[in-house]
Amino acid sequence: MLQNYKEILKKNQKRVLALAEDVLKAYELAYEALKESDMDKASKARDMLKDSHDKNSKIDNEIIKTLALFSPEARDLRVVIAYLKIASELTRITDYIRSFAKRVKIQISSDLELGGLQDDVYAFAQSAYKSLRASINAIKTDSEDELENLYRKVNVEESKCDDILSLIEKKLIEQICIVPENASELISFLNGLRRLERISDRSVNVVKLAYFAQKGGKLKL
Amino acid sequence: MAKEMIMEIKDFYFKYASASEPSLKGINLPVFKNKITAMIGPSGCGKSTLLRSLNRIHDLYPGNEYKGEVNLLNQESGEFENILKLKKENELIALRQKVGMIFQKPTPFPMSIFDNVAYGLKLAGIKNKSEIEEKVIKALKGSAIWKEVKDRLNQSAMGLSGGQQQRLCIARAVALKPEILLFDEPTSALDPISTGAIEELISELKKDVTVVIVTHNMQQASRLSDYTAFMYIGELIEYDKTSKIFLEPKEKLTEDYITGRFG
Repeated sequence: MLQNYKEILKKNQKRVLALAEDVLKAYELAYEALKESDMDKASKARDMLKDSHDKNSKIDNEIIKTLALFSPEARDLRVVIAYLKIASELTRITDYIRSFAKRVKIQISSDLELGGLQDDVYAFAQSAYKSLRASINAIKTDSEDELENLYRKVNVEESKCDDILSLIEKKLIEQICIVPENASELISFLNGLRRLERISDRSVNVVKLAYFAQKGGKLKL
Repeated sequence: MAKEMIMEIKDFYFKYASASEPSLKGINLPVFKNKITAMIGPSGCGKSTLLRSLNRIHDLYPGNEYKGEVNLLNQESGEFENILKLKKENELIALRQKVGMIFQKPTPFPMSIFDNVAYGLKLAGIKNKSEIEEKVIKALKGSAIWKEVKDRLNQSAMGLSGGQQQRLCIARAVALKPEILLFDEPTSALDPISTGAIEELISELKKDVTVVIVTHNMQQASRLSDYTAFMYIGELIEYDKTSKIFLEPKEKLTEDYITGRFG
């Protein structure tokens, strides 16, 4: 294998992993912002992902170049295609994190009380985070066993997210019935949570792509 | 690092002795130092003819006509010298030491592996045996064939596989420390594994040598070269960075060729 081809494949992987690390850090900050009602952290989480679309474009262009110049085959081709799509999934996740962080800011500034929902919201955000982290670990691993475990983990956390969100939705509707004047803030907050649910959905796509890269099969997202 | 030109082809025409029309018309092409330049194009487009003009190997047959300039950088004076003005046989031999050539079919001499590499060195006037031995070993190592032949240096080169013979030919050329190496479809007679080995070797060689390669294999041109020239019916249609040629060529003809729509 040509040395520069090897280097280019490595660079593509590095760029995707760097984007993934940004995503994880920003999520952590957004979550801390929610728990600590910290406006500053919510802003930082948003700022951190400001240029994620540019980074994604760079990855896209480098991968197009790799395809045009090196015509990768078999596993190399799967990996390159997987990186192209993973980068796009991660970029969608950055949009959700930014949007979630924005809603956290609104929630903090409006002094919206979550009351009995708080623990459910934290558990929900934790599950979305765990699915995201596991999917990113799946990109990094070379071990087939670990990949299988991470694949299961992402799917379990994603299911948990779905269940907890339904629970939260029910409770929020009850709360709206009790205090109708908070309805618009609560619905806005619910929309923010739906972004987290989408993060867990996208994490499932990421782990499927990591699985495709390593083990092949048909791509089905 | 700024790219430095080592050869410049200017308004170059070439006509074979038996032909009525020139086979190459108005070629302008730079060759950059320590870069790989690939020449692609359909059969008969003149890419091998152009390659063979770069070390005047056409002169082995009489009556061919050159017009224009093929300027080679004189590393000592820093001036460009038009190689088309060379007339004397010893000047042409010196040129071919500076601008070596590897052919499509491996051409080992019917002698030992060691002597194949030592032959050119002896011709170049090196007489000291230990110096020759040192240079032969260095060339074989630099051509990624040393491990395979170190225990049979005195055996005939004809017993090597095609890929090994080709690497031996590269070692023979490399031993003379050329400034430019011309490769005329060097892997078209080889299997994929030998092709891979030769490509890795060419890619390594560019640290020390400038490479110009003619290839019919588009993927080889794209993965190996820094610059690509596309030729068609004796003319240079397009020349640019390889990434540009294979991603967004300016000329429709280039695009049609590299996408397999003709040729």
